[in-house]
Amino acid sequence: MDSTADPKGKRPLYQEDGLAYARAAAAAASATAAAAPDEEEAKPKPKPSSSSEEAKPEPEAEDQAEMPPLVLVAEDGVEVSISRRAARMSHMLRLLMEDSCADGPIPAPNVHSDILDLVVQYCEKHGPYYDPEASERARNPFPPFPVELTPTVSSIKPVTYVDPDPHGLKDWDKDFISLDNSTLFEVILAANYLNIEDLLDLGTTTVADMMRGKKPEEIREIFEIENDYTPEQEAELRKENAWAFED
Amino acid sequence: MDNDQPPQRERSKMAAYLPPELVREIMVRLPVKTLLRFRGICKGWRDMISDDAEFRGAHLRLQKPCLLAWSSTKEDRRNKVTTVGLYVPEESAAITDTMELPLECESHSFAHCDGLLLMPTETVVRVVNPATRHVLTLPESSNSVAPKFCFDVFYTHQVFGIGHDPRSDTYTVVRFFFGSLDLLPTDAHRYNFGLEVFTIGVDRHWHETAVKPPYPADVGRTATFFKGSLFWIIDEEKLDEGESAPGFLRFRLEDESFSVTPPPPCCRGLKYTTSHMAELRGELCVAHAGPKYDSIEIWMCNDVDINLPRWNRCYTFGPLFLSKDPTLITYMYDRCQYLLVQQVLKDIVGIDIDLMHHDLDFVIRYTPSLGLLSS
Repeated sequence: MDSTADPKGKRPLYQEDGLAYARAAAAAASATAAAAPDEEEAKPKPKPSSSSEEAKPEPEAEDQAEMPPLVLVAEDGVEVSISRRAARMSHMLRLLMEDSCADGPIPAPNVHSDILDLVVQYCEKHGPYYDPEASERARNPFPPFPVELTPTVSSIKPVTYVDPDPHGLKDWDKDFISLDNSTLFEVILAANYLNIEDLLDLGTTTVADMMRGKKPEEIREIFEIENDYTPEQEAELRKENAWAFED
Repeated sequence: MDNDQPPQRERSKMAAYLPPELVREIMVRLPVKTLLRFRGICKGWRDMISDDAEFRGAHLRLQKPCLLAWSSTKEDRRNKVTTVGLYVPEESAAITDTMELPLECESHSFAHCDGLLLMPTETVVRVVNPATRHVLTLPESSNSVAPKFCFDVFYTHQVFGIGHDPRSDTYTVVRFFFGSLDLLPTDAHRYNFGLEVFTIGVDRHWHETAVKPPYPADVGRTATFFKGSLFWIIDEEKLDEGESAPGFLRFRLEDESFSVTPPPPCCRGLKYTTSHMAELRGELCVAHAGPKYDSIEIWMCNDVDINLPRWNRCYTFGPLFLSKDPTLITYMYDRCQYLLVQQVLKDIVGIDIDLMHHDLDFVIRYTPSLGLLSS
């Protein structure tokens, strides 16, 4: 993740159109762009305050706060700005910043401005605590919950409780992601385009949770899937795993 | 730019515009039970859920480890059947997904690998996926028949293991068995033993390894699977006079080779029969009595492939008040096992519970998976 190596050596493996477009736009605007020295962006990323053992100074956060925010352009032409610190959450934007191609407007051609606002909102909230080295799942290895093993046995209360969510992000996420289906899917598409792993995880997990209780017909409607089974085949499959249909 | 232009897509049917890889990203986060139901949505989904090894692997990697508990719910001594109930507790809910299985008596301890539970008994070996309720009964083997001489202490002449071979992405069950006994002119015994393997989905019969194991494994103590290898405790009683166990017997699934893994310092000079092994948090763990038998230590090692594996003593329980009576060995073994299980619970759920107070035979770490659907 450190960009002490020659930034020109980095080539993204995806979304080439967006990056190429952005680079071309940046090259065209390079004369007027406020070019920040590369060293500032190459400093180590600040770790979230709760997990840092060494007293690392946070030069990058300070410098980035001084640097102008990025400007994203939605499909409807509306410009949405995002702070550099928040933009780190998007792998695509991070690469652009490392390559110093993020000074001009960055196109997000498939994303409507309403959705872009939501995505930026998410990144601004999570940005200060973001550690690219740790993934969402690695951050919460122990889910503490009381376990009732049998109805007759008394429930087991946690003795040692370690708060895995010191900044209250879980509750915020829950409120944030309670969107109608179409908006939710658009957020997922946007998170995929901008390569924001945590938001993609949040979105897809939410959709998965929503799907769990639905009947096959409802799933087919949501995903526009054609049922290519005969009624007999479907009944046979249902019989095979009858217990899975109980709840 | 013209902001009055209506969006090109009809917003209510957004999901149809999710590319297949994103639909996959969503499905991979569904629990096994839901996926089984969704096989009936269309043939494409059925193929993805049942026959796509990559999907299965991605799904497994996203599962959070949880607990599997079992207890004997019914014992029918006349017909020699014990019904075992498997339980998977879900978040702050009562037990869900229970499954009952009749087992012949004399069952070995169970082992788990990637959602597959090995349930061996003296006569029949089964691999069960509690999440899909799929039960695979392995074919019979002549080596499951006990040899003519009998073992005084243990009821069995075999010990099992289950593991994952990363190279071929298959799951293999192994049976370590004792055969005939040779009486030497010096009145000593020489034990004959071997190992046979059965790869699920590939083999139709058990087949013996080309190379015989170099040391006798302790019977009845199901192997511990760790990073592509199976580990057994060596039974020092069956070694030649004066010989001591050099460590743990290791069987690498990839190339079916044997080796010995040096033990933590606590095992030197002490009987291996009091030690217990498990995998915790990506490290191999050994619980063993402390040097003065007044404590139990848990040692952990994260890399057994280097020349001299380094064991770190991570936990010490004690001082324990123990009397030096003949049942000490069994007690220590039970205690080691019990404490390791407690550590497993701590490891997964981060809570401290006292197992003794609950009506369970055993608890292991478990990860639900789609495994076995295609075989």
